[in-house]
Amino acid sequence: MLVFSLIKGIIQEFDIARHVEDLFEVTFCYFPITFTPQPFDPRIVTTEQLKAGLNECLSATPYFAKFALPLLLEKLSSNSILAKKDAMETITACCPSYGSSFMPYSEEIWTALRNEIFNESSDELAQIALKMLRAVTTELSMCVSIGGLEDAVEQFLKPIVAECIEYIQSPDLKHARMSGMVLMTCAVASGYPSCLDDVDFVTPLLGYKNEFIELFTGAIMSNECRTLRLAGIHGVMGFIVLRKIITEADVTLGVQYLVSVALEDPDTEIREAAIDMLGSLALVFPGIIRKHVLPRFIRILPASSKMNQGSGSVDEDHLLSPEYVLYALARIGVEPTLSELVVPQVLINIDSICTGKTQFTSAEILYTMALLEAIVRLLRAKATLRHADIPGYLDHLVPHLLGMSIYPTVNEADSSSHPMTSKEALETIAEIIRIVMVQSNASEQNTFVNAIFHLFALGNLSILATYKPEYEQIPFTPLHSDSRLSQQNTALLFGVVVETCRQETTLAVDNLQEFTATMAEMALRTSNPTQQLAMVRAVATIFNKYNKRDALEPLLSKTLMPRLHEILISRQRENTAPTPTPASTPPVISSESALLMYIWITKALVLSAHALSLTLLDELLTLFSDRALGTIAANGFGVIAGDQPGILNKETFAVVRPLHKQRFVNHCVPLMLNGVQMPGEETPTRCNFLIALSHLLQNSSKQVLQAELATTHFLPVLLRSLSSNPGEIFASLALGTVFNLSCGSPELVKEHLPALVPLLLQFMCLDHEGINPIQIRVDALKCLSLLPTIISWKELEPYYAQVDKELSRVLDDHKRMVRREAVECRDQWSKIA
Amino acid sequence: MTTLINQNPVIYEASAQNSTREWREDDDNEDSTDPIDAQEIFDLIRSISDPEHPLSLEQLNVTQRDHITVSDENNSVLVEFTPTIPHCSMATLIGLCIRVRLLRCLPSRFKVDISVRKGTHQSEHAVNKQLNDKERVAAALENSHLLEVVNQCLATATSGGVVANIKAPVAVK
Repeated sequence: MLVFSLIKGIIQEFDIARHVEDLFEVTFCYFPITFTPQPFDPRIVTTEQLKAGLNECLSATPYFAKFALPLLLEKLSSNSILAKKDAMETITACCPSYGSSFMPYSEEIWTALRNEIFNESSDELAQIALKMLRAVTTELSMCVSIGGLEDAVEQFLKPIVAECIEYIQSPDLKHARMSGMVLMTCAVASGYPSCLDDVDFVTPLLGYKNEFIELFTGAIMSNECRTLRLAGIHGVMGFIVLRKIITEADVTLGVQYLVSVALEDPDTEIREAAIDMLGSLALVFPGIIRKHVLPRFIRILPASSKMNQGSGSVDEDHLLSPEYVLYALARIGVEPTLSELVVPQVLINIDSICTGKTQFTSAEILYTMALLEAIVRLLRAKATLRHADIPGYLDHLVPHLLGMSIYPTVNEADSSSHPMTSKEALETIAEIIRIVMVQSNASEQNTFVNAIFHLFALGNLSILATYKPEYEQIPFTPLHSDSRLSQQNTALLFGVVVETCRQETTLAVDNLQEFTATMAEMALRTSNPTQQLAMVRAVATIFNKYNKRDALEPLLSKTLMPRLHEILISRQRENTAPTPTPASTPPVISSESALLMYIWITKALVLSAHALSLTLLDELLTLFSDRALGTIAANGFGVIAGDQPGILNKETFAVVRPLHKQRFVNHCVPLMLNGVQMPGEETPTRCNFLIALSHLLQNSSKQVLQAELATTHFLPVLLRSLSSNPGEIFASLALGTVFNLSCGSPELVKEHLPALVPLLLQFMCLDHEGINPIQIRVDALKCLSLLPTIISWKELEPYYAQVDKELSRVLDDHKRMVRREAVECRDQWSKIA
Repeated sequence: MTTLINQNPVIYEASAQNSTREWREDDDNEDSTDPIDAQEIFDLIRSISDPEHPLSLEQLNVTQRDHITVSDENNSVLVEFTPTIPHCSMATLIGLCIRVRLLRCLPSRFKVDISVRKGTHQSEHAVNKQLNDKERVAAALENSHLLEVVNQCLATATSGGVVANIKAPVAVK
């Protein structure tokens, strides 16, 4: 290794022109590397490393070319597969530096490669040969573009192309696949540099253009194996990308070809490949796609779902199902000038289904959903490409969709089956709004948010461009707890806007505090879970993002939280002393609603590291002993600790303080552990602590947890409580916690193997001091099978004999589920044994 | 280049990853006993890889559930398998793989018989004799090269996948 790095250094640093031959000889005598490392050799030098080192040396200077190439080519004709493989890999590695030195050897190279590729002796060898062919071709055509030596590539490729074409045209298809691959490789390799070249330069391949196209289309048409046809499609694609040699007419031709494949081919995989190609092409040639492709797809997109019931065989229906066409449109129409065409078209289709009707068939509802989802897919693709036209959709697409889903709810006739007011449709529209909002800047958001507040807070529908007075037959009050159910559900759309606002965006209300208080009150009073969750999330978001200079502090710490606290506490008192509440009290706010809001606000404050957050967490923990609320509160820690998609995270511009997670975990883990081992405490309470702990473990990174778990003696505590004969639910939860913990931090588990393994063996057996229920045995076996995958054999070896013995007994468990786990577990252990 | 003994086997559709067994109420009931049956044995061996092709014994139709006879109370299992072609020289190896798999996964109380299905192999008698001779099997497994091949074939074997109601132990119920 040292020698190789030395030589490389010498070549790079010194002028070696006079000593080329000597230097070459000392280097090349190492080739081919036949070194096999001694087993158990502590000095870890692998054959691969040596090969790589040698290749680096040989390819370090172009001066080596004239010595190395003849020798390497000679090796190519040797009988040893290894030598051939090495030689090819070395040549591939040398290509970039040797450059034009290949020219004199082109014929020999092809002869050698031809043998490898067409003999099909081994797939691996053929792949390496193809790689080499590609490297050589790239290099040669690069030379052409640099030095103007036009015939180098041509000389090299001419025999190759001629031979391959002959193979493909011959009726015997044995070599056709490989020939296709060769041609593709050549096309791609020689095309690449010519694309880079600014000078109007014609690659030698041009001469073969028409033959190629014929060939590839022929390959697609043929009914032979799928790989050949796929290669054909890739070939057409490769060609279209060669901008310099292809005229617009050619592109059009190729594209139309792909379209007919995408629309008519019976093979799904081929069709999808064609659509993928069209999708990639759309980014390069939007003009052509717009002119020739989109109209064809849009034409077959049924105006309404009635097409489904049309005549035609089942097969045809499936082939061109609206879902398929929509999939294609969403894949192809991503480029701005194309989506500008596709999106309105989809909207028109939704309109034509929904307007002027009150009754809808299930097919119509499904089709509407498919159309909406196509928009989501399209926008997602655009969002990953960061297209600049996305914010524009706030002006047209989104208001249009809002109108469509709001107008039915203000119509006298309340049609609950309207496809645009279903919960699924609203959620899909919310997703559309989220994508667009996240991609917009503050000033773009401002205008839109302003309109949204007018719409939802004041019920001012006329702000929508599509508004007509006759639509509004009853007032629109989506944020009230006593409005129509379908209106309440649209709160979802309002919620998503608030959730995705930037911190700099202004919420268009005069008094934010008052507004938030009202919304919180409505959220507590409503009995509609959809509306409630939407408003609760909005309230939490406001407390997270807009509590600037403690503007909302009076509401938060003086009014709202004490009130929630009061509701929750009074509930607890009821539990302990069940006195019948006097009938005169106003309609009670359910404590579940209060708890839901409590949890979300806690999450918002934990993220912004608000001073109040630790107090709130403590209170949540005290709720664990409540019979009805305890489990909800414990699961609330899943909401608080976990990243919730689309709300209160960095992507949606929430205030996320660094190290907030650390603070949160350090505060909670000790308290929860105390709860787990609380003596004499009722089991449900201890279970709730375990549930909350599991949530923490699942949702926190290793770095955050590591120190905390070690200092609090987490695992010992858990194991101790497990061994004190707990109930089924507790044991199952604890085993689950051990499982999660082991996945996250195996080091910790390693230290406690002496306690853990016997415990697991105990729990997996049917009868050990009483009967272990099925679930416990299964859970224990799962934990036990995890160990060999995370801990090294050296640590586990002392336990193997005993584990294996016990497992062989469990193989005879009378329940099949347990036996299954036992088999898996034994497999895992024997794998490393 | 080595030539494959059966270059072009017929491939049958396999029943996905999971067992075809359906979940029953009784699976959760501690008081009912689930006897070991043909389906369970089949689930154990169907995902073994063929020594020659990257396919499972089920895909090659080498093992079938109907060709397995089990008696839980008499502690006996009979597995009959069908080589892909009558002159398949891998038959013994396949049989050995099945034997080792069952050795590892079944309680030791079972007596396992493995044989080539009648009339599907030209030297079926010799193969059967080899497979059911305890000493020869033990001797074969002493051979580290052979053991490695067997382990390779068994590497893909699973316990027949998961019945619908078994989940990874998640703490939250």
